Amino acid sequence: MVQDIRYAMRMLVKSPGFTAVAFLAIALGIGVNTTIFGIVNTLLLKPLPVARPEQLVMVYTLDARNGKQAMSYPNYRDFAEQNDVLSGLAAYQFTPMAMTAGGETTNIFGQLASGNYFAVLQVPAALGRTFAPGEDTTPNGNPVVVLSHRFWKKLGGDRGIIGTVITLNGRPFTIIGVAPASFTGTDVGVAPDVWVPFAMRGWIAPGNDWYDNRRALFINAIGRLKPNVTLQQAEAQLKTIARQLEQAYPEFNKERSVTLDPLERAKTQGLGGPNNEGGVQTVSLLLLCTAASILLIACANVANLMLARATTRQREMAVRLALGAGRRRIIQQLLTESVLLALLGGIGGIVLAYWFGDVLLSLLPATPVPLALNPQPDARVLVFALALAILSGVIFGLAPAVQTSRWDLTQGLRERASTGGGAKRWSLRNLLVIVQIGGSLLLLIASGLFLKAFHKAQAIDPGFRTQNLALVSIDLSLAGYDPVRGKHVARTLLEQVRRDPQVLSADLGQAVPLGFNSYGRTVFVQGAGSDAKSDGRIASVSAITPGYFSTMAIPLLRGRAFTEQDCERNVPQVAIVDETMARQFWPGQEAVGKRFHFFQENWIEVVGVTRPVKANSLSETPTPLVYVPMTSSPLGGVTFFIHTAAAPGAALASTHRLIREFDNHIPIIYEKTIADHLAFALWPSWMGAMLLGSFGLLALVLASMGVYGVMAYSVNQRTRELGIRIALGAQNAQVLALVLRQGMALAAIGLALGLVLAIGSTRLVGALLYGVNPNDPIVFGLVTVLLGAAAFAACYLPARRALKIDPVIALRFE
Amino acid sequence: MIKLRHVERNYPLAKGKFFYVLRDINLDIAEGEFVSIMGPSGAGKSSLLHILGMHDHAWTGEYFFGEAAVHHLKAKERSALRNEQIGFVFQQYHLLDDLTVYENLEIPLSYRQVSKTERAALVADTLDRFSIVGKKDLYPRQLSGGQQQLVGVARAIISNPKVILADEPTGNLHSSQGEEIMELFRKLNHEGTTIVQVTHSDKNASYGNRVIQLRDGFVVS
Repeated sequence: MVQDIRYAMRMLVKSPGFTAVAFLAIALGIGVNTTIFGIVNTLLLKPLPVARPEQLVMVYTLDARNGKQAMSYPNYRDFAEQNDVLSGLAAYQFTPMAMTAGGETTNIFGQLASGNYFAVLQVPAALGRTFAPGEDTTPNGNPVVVLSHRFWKKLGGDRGIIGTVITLNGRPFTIIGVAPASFTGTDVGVAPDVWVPFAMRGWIAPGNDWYDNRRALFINAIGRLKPNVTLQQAEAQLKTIARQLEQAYPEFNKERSVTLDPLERAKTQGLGGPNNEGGVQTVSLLLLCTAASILLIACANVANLMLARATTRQREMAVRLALGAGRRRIIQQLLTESVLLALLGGIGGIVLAYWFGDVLLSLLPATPVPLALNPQPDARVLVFALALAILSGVIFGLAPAVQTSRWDLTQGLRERASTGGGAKRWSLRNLLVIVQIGGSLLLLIASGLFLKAFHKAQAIDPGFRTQNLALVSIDLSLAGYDPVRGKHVARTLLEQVRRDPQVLSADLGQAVPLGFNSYGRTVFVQGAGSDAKSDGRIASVSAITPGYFSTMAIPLLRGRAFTEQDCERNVPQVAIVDETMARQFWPGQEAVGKRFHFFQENWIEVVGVTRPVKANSLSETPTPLVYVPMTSSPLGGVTFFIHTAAAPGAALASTHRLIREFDNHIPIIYEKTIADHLAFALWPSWMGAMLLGSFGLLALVLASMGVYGVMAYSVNQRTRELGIRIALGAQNAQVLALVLRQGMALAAIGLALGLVLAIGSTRLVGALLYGVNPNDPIVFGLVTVLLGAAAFAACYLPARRALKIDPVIALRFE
Repeated sequence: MIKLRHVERNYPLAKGKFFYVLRDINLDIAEGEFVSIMGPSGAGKSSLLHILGMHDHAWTGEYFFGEAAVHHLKAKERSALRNEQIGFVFQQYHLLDDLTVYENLEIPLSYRQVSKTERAALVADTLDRFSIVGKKDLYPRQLSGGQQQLVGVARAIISNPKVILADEPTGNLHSSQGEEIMELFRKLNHEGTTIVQVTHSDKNASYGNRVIQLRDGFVVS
């Protein structure tokens, strides 16, 4: 074996051109696969850095109408106290906070967590300690905070930080510990900066009265199964408790039970929500399949190169056979060469993967929530890359090795030049090219569809103003303002913003369309049935100031807009609904004048109907949306929507300055021009188009290389035949046509294969395509022509070379 | 019919020097002649034949083929003249392995824009004339050396050339097959075709009416 390796290295050095091309193809293939596997590993495969993760379960509310949901805080407390199947039930909630340091207030993102959070997860502190048992009992009694490792580094990484104080929401909190570097919470992709006990919620989430409301589902609960208790047994007992809670609190818990999921499966909910863990899996599978296709195309390419090279070693192999080498020995020798080459490519691929990882990280958009998506290879990914390299080496080396070992000894020793392949006209090489072209066409069509989807997404009308608009979000509650004072401050700031001569209009809104702060509430329609409460359905709610629709250019279809009087307290409550809600809640009727109420609140009259807007994503199916007048400063912050006469950059800066001058403690959560904001909304489709576009381009290059390699080899092999034809009178055009016909016949079969594959498989990604037809004839047509043209160019170059064959030399060749 | 004046052919060597394979060749071949070019290996026989066959253009001097001054012709014109006037027979036959006997015969006609029906008629005539009708669907590897060369000669004359150039046409054949081919050449020559062959064999040369001896690139007799 050592001898084989030594000889293999010598052969690779001897053919630097072949080695370089094969290395590049394999390195690109393995680099792409390693990067994608790195992402999938981070999102799905890497177990959470907690002890015995298989014992951890996510406990959800199971609502009869709205499916899997989070949990209410009072119910969580009851489940935690009444069960004896879990060794502990922890809870957490994401929440923004304002940190003041050095006179500057910045927005950070943390979690309120139960006192047993770290204990249930069995995550010890890397520095200091985690929460003590009694620290989550007295309201606002223990202002302590645990920092994430990344946040600690951001603060300077001083090991003496334990015991020092930081200011959160204007209040002092003592730093008691730093979490391990590997631990970023239990929601993959989202990394909180700090953890604070729930008992401190009065300081962290002032004015939020949901903690006493059994109806409000916003708490995430994680339980650890006791030893020898299965998930099913635990679920059965928790369901029993849920039934008891339903009987005890029927108005809040009616038709609500619980359901359990292994935490390892639920950990991606942060990216898609509790009912969308599958979304990450689907996208991961798509990316893995795409990357695998790239590697297969690269393998086919290298196999082709090796087959071509093998024929030049016919004599060497014949001599080896003549000297007594068995077929197995020959195959072993050749496989050693291919695996060695693949391992070299694998190492190159790993280096590329680090680089690709950096590129991907740099492409992540700036978000209000800190993201933790580290695709850099870890030990598992490195093992994967090396295993993939060895497998690739066997895949692209086996066929050439077996074929070479089958050669006829005497024929090999004579090395007679032939004028063609005879019965081998449809050789393995040709089949490999066909497969390459077919696979590449499939990838290119997928790229084309995603590019078209991106283009189409750009053209989607979100239903609101998309130019000359600035967005600035602040959270007054985090600066210590109660809702009433908060409303006054927001209105005062709004008046100041409106005074800017560049500002045409400005208004306040609670939810940012295609952004955040949108929350759902259960709506009960008057006269919906004898048991109106059971008919409750969820609608998104946003509080706004009266000029909001005009500032946002959202047409009011019927009824009237809000007035300043509507925004007062103690006046009859009114609402404006969007047309989706009007149609769904009052089908066939005029919604204006109808009444509804939120859970346990007063009746509200609908006074207007607006055109629907895209609330959460550009691809969403319209969901019911209700606007209410902004009577107080809403929870989660308020956003200034500023319509400017010209580009809105200046308005952003002046509003920032205004807020800072007014109160330096007010955290500015988000500030973007509408163009940047929409780019953020378009990011998933842009990323999809860019990734698949890059893959498609790579496939195009690899396929062109494949066709070129085969045709160049073919022309070389046919030198004598072409020489004879030229000697017999063949003209340039005839020689050119002969070579082109051969190459384009392969291309045509490959294209047909690719089209069949594409028609069959693009439907699988239809849901990700923003309404683009998965079999879009324009994309199919253009991409086929593009790949056909590339194949033609790849054939044309060797064909041109065929014209230069000198019959005198060709006929002497033998 | 063929007139060469001061034709020379050389290959560049290192340091600006040249190696001459043909030197000051002056040669006249009349229509209907059967000429044998002879000489030891490396004398320049095949090089001369390739110049006569207009495959090689990197020579100096003057070459007249009938009325045409070949040395003044462009590549395309030379190619057209060759296709029209010259047929080739090679020592290694140079049949195309993937084509049947029928298709091998058809090839030169297809390069001369002969229509399909006319091609079929000409190929049928030639197969008949050379008594190889029964072998028309066979591939070259299924034929003996003599049969392959027979097809090679048939291919050379199918487009009715005025001159046949043959490079050691019997070099790969045993004696009886060789005689058969030489008899065929003699017959073709009697029918009016000019034949120029390169040969090492005195016996083969005796089929012709003139011998040109080459030594170190010079015509010596």
